[in-house]
Amino acid sequence: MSLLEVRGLTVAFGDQVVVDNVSFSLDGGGRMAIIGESGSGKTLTALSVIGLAPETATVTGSVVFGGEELLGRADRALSKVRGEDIAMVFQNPQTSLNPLMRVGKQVAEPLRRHHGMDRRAALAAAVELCGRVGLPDPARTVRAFPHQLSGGQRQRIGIAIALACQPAMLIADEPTTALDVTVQAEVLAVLAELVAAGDGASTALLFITHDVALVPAVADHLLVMRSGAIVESGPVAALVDDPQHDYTKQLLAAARKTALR
Amino acid sequence: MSPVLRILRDILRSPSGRAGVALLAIVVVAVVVSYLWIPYDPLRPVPGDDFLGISRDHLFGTDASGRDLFSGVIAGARVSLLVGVTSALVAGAIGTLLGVLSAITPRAVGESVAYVIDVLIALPTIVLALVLLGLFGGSLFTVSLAIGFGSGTLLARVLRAETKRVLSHDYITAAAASGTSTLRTVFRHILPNIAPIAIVQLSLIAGLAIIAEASLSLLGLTSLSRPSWGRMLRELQATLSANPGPIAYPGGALVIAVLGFNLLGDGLRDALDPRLRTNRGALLSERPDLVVVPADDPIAADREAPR
Repeated sequence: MSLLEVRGLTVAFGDQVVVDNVSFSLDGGGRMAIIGESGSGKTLTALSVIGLAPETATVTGSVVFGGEELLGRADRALSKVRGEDIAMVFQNPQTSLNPLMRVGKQVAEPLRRHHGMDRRAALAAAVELCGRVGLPDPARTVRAFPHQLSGGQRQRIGIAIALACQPAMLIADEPTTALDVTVQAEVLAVLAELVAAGDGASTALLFITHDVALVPAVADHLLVMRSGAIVESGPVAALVDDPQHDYTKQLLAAARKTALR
Repeated sequence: MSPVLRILRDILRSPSGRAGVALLAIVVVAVVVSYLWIPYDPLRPVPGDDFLGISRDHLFGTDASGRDLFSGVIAGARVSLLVGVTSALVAGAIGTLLGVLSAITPRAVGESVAYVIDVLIALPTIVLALVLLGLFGGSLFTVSLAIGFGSGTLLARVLRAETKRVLSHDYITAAAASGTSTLRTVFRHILPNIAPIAIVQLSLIAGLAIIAEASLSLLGLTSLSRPSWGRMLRELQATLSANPGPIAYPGGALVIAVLGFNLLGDGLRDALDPRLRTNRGALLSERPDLVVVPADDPIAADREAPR
């Protein structure tokens, strides 16, 4: 049985449908990428999976995670799943960290919430996590405020927060889009390595991006989304070699053009 | 260093913080002195001593009824400091509770609370104060409660907007995505991030409360058995054309107290914001231990260059 089973997921604001009947499934330890232009509904799809779609949105369909339906569950019940079983890395590390809180405390938060660790134990674990995401001198880094770190370092903190509780599944929403090109590759490598290196079963990854070039490095399965619907899906290699849908062809052509320039 | 000492040090780092602390220190010293030593009874007229000039016996001279002005000023400091602080506390409690609640509760509830806030704002503070004073007498507690309630509803509206702004930030969504409960989000993420605005507002409220209390006393609406700066203004105003000089003492005292609160608020806001406390440049020179620059990060390494 798959870890995550999304069936007929539809998200609408009033009568405007922004995610239209999306279905896919992800196995434990699987790697899936969702690609699409901005406004294609890929981020909203991800947020709906963990029940964080805006209050004004109507979400219908079915999201089964580990055999349990998540859609329609109370916020309180969902918050036990979030961070513990499904975690998320956000697009912009400038804004996804609390500017007034030392980063170590922010990494320690999910551990205190889900593993009931006390302040000291959680901070010690945070130091270790910061080391694992490749931050230099973790014992000092945990005492820094977000504005004292570079963009790449901040996103490593974001990854450390997401992986703190060793979730069964990680949603990464354009995690490298806001970073300088030189830092992108490093952060991507850290992400791919840590997702694979979970204790026991490795973490499943749902990677959201608009950049086709990043996909082969992190995913083996690809969903192409446009205007809220999935237009094509399949193994990454097959899709890149032999795209069937016009939109997929356009995306690939555009990516090749940028690479040549 | 204890957190309190560290905040005090950071307040003293900014010019407005230093000025605020200095001005309020004058008021606090006056209050302390008033409990140890008041040269004359500030309320008892002394026939024949009217309009005495500045002398060793009367540091600020006397008024038309021969009351010692210095005694009046230091005794009045108690009232102003107390009213300023209590009103700000009352306003802070009401404003934060209503403001944050109306922003985090579901839409229908939040909007209703917001409407109630708007209705409460429409009640003029001074009228509310008059009614309460009429009902419960002119005690300082009643005055502070009335002023605190009136400005608390205004604060609630400001903090509701500010909370909404904070809620729209990614780190709130990120906190939810790692399973943080609503209550914990309020204490860890929302309150610290609305604090800068709240502190500045509260320091303004403390200043306005002092002026409001003085106005009520000037109108003769507070208890007559208590010396206060507003009451002194009321008495000196009667002889203003004959002898305008002495009005500068209670007037100046009011300016010192109000300005002191406002400047302290500015300094406190800056002290609590880590981004203002240490900018990157200052950080590199003062706290090199906190800067993390990996050798393999060309972007950050570049930033380090202009040392």
